[in-house]
Amino acid sequence: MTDAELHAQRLDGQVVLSVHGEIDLENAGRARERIVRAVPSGAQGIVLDLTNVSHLDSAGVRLLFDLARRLHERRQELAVVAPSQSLLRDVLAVVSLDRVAAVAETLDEALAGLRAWEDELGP
Amino acid sequence: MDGFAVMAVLNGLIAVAYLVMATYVAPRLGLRYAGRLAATAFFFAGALTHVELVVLSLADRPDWLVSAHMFAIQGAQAAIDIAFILVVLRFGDLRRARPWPRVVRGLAAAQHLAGIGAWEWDATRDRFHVSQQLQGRWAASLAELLERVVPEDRDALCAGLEAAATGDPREPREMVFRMCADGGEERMLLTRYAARGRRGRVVGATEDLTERRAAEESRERATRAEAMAEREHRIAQTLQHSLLPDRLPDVGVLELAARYLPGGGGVEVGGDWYDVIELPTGEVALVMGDVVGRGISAAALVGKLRNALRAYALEGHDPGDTLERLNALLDRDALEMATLLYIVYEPESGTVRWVNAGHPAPLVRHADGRREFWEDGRFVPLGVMPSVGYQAASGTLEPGALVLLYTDGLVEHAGVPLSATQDRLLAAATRNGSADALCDATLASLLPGGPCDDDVALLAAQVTRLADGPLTLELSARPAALREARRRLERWLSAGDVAPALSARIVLCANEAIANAVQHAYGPKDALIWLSASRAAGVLELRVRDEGRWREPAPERRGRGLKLMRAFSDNVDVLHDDEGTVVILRWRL
Repeated sequence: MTDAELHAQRLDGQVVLSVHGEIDLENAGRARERIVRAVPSGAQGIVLDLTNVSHLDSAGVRLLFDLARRLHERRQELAVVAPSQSLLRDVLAVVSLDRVAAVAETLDEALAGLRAWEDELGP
Repeated sequence: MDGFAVMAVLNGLIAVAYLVMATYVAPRLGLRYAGRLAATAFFFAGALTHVELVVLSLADRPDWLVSAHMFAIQGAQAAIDIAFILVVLRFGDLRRARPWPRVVRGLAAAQHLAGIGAWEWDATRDRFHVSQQLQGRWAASLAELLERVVPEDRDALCAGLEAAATGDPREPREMVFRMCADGGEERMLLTRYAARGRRGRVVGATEDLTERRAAEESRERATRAEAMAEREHRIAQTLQHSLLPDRLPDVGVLELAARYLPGGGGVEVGGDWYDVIELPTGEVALVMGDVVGRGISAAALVGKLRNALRAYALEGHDPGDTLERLNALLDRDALEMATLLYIVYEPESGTVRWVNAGHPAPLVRHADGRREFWEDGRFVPLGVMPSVGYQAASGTLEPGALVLLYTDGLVEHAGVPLSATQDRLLAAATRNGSADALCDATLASLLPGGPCDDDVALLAAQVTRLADGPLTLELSARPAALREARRRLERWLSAGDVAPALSARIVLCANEAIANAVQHAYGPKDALIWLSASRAAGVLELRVRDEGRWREPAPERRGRGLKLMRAFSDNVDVLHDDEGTVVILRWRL
């Protein structure tokens, strides 16, 4: 069975969800529900760290678009971490995920981006 | 008075005597037909010199023998003719009467041979008369007899005999009772009896059944035990045969051979078993196990392990996890215990992972002739402790290399140290040859006289080649097939030295093509998808074919999958017709 583990933590006051494993057609639906449940409704946004995702296909891409849409409805921002020089990053580029989410190369970059966005919105 | 006158007078006297006897004596004595016999004698007395009349019995004195003799002697000169009557009453046992000594002896012999004794019970005086056969084995009176009969049988015997003594009914009856013999041992007696003659008289025949019954019982027991053992053996054998593969699968990349030799010592089958499982990942699992115990329970445990192992292996658990789960299945309270060697061979790379739960180490003969026992990956047998932490060791089998799995019956011989038999095993494996030849050579060297008490099982596998040809996969059209397909394609690409970055793209594209078929090409029924990958003239071609009807996908979703395939391959073609759809992807290497 395709398996993805989800770890949630707070860094710099931001919610960071790290995914380990694979996301495909078999587990994408389950993974999306778990991610949505893990996002506190009061958070400004979340960082979804996909650094340790070894496989993400079009079903995974759809999960990211769905997630971004849901967060937007709750006025929350999504930042995705995908390392450079990885197929994952190329995949996200091909499907233009950056139209709905911030795509960063590292966790720090993603956190900095979220902070900047919050600053922009103001208190 | 001449002789004739004397004769006439005498005849007259004789006639009178007979008449007197017939009229007065005979009725008193209970003589039957005495009168008629006397009259007959009277008419023929003149012509006969000797008449003997014998009366066999008296109605109320059966132990009396009565005979009446009449002699008429007529002299030549007829001076004096003498006639007299002799009446003899003899007392005693009729059966000892002179007229039938031969018959009586015959009867006694027959009784002896048949083991039957006769008795007669006079109820009025409570006296038993017994034949020779029963002398010393019976009793003088019913009271005495009952004392010797076991208490449970007393009432029935007493009631039966007393009923017969009243003369009702007269048909013979039969009963079996137990009684203490003189030596104190208990005998089982069969007695047939019936009322006879006057009221109060019962005759019977008694037979000692003790030995016969004991013999019958022991024969019955033996027959039963034999039948049960036979049945049990048959069941166990059937069970065990059903648990060994009918034939080894044709896995292509491995040449397989197996032997199973039932133990020579006992009739019970042992717990040796082996199996070969083709895993969904394209790997091949080799299994050799030995269950503690023999007979049906051992065969049943083999069945449990074999089925569970197949289920876990097919579910995709790794070797360590598979054994951990098997271990949890065993009932430690019932002392279920087994050794197991589980080897998983990956045909693309020749990588082998194995876990050894207390089993003899596998023997490996490499292509260059080097031989070794794979001693790593050793843990305790299954069923010893609740949680073991089984972990796989790994090695490599190159083309031509051979691995031999076996049970302890091959190497554990009474009085021979294990190291010595292992040396012989190493020596037997020096010869080149196939897996089949290695099995034969091993058995010939280690067990020249056939198996000892224990069963012996062998499973040999020789790598014929690495799986470097085209890859062909048949997949069920379900999301779960995706992961399996990715793994197998990854391994095939890795074995073909395709760079990891390119490999990742190829796998992603194949995944998209299969996912597309799973999602769109089929209805709810079970269907299949075929993936093939091949390399020719510097081009790697991948085809994903299904038999579903083409449906135009939802634009967004379909768009992404196709977009990814276009982005990460050099060329994509989607062909569809009445027979289904084929997606063809190509990469220049």
